[in-house]
Amino acid sequence: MTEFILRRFLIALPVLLLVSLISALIMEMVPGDPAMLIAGQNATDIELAAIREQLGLNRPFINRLGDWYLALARGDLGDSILLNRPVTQAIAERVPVTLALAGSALFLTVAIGLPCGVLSAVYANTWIDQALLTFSLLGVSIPNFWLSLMLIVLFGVMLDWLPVGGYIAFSDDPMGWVKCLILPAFSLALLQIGLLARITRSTMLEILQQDYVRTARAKGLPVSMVIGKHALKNVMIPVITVVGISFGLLLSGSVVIETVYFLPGMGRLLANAVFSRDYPLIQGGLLITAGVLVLLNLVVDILYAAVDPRVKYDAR
Amino acid sequence: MTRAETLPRAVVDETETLITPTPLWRRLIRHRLFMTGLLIIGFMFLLAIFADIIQIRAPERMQVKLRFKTPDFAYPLGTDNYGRDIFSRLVHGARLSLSIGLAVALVTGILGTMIGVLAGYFKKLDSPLMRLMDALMAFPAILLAIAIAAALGPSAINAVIALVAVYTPRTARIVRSTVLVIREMDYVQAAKACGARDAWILLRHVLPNSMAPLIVQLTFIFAYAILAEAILSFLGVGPPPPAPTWGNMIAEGKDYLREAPHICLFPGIAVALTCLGLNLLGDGLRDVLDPRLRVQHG
Repeated sequence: MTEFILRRFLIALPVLLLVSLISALIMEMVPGDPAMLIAGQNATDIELAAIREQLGLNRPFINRLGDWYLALARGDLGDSILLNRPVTQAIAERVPVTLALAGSALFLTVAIGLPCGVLSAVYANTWIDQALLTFSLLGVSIPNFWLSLMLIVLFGVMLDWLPVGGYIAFSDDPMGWVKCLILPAFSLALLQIGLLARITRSTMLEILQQDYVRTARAKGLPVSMVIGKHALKNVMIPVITVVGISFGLLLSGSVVIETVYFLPGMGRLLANAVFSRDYPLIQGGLLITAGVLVLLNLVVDILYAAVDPRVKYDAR
Repeated sequence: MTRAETLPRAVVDETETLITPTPLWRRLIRHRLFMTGLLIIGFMFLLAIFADIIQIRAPERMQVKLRFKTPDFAYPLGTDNYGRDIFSRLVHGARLSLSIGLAVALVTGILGTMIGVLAGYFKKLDSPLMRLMDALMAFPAILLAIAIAAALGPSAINAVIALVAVYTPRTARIVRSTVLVIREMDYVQAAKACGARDAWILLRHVLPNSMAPLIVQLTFIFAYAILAEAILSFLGVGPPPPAPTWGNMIAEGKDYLREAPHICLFPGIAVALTCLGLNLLGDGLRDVLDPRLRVQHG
């Protein structure tokens, strides 16, 4: 087990190295540079050259990349050009919002998706199953940014029940925090709810055919007991994997949702960084998000082994 | 004991379709959800192909006097903030969105198959190729697409390139896992023993046998690509306005949500309907072509 974790860590390192390299290369493809944005439209060539000199933009790509890695080794991701602050600090400020959004969306995903999937399997091929299937199909088909706009019109403008956007910190106003997260979290979660429900359903259907379920029924246990005690436990194994993947997808999906609802999270920060060519911020932000996703996959694998003793990693 | 019946009923349904071998097309026709999907997508493709005939007015034509008209007889879906006919724009948007989605699915299919087959069949290539794919997959998908599309500049072609970069690794991984299994099959080993060259084995044995999961996957990628293209357009890195992509239409309408929500409403429905059709198509194909995959993909 320890060996497995170590080996996965070792595989993750070159992946992260490639990630940083790819993000640096993408930034190199961009026509124009941050100096033009900082200097504005009317800047003279001399002014531009001065800014480039100051930011070190006129040095060769390889040198800049080398410096970036050297700084990274010290835990320094450089300074954001537009925010004029260390990248790590700019990102750290935004992380709580994104975590709150992705976390509450994950909560909705499990709280709605799991029971729906179990219900679908137990009542397979009845109207309940059909209705839930339709719901999950809609979930994967409706564009979430559009759903967000429609929800804003309905609940924010027409009914005036919920705020149309913006973020209130939990420490300032707990009720306001919940209110401003309801719509974004639901818009973000809808897709994952549908996916989780469908995977839970198919896993549950398989489990319901197992001998131990039949035995439990045969010895006279009530259906609710069989499902609650025997089936649910076994459903959890694939569900953990899916939930882990979902959390990663929710984190990356937050880019669009944060933009629509004006939430000051990491996704919006990075999207804006892309539009304003804030190289250090993009490079650092991409590395951090990718690192989080890689770590998350690792955690899922370990959890998987911890929950299901049948999973063996030595064979690989 | 009345509730006892609920358990066995769940058990019966999955098995019966597997017993009798019927021709592929007949199984597809019998699949109600597949046919629904086919109908929806067929309809969308007809709209896209005959957009020039179906349109009421040129999609770019502005008429300031007719701004924000709600749907009526002359303008079935109303007009937008420039007085352009939403129905005509929607129909032309179908052409753009479907071409972009189809292009992404095809290019992804070709690239993903090439990389997946090479990585799965040649052990030496496996690790370097898959690590590169892992790295591309480690990025949040939408952020990577935005970054590439923004770097290359907003246009339809660049949106396709950005989305191909996002979805190729996912396809390559699936193809690779199929190829890993096929490589160990007796018929491949037999061909090797007979002295067949790698290229022959790849083309004659490995490729045809790895098609089923690929086709299923590409249908879903088609759907993802349409969603993602709408997101790129919405954020301003897709085909630039006034191109009538569905994402652009939603982006332009979002500033008028209070006065004229219908500008946003219809393009969103078009996206959702197309994706629904493709998902139904993909589900049906998976049930018929490759029942084993059922658990893996949601």
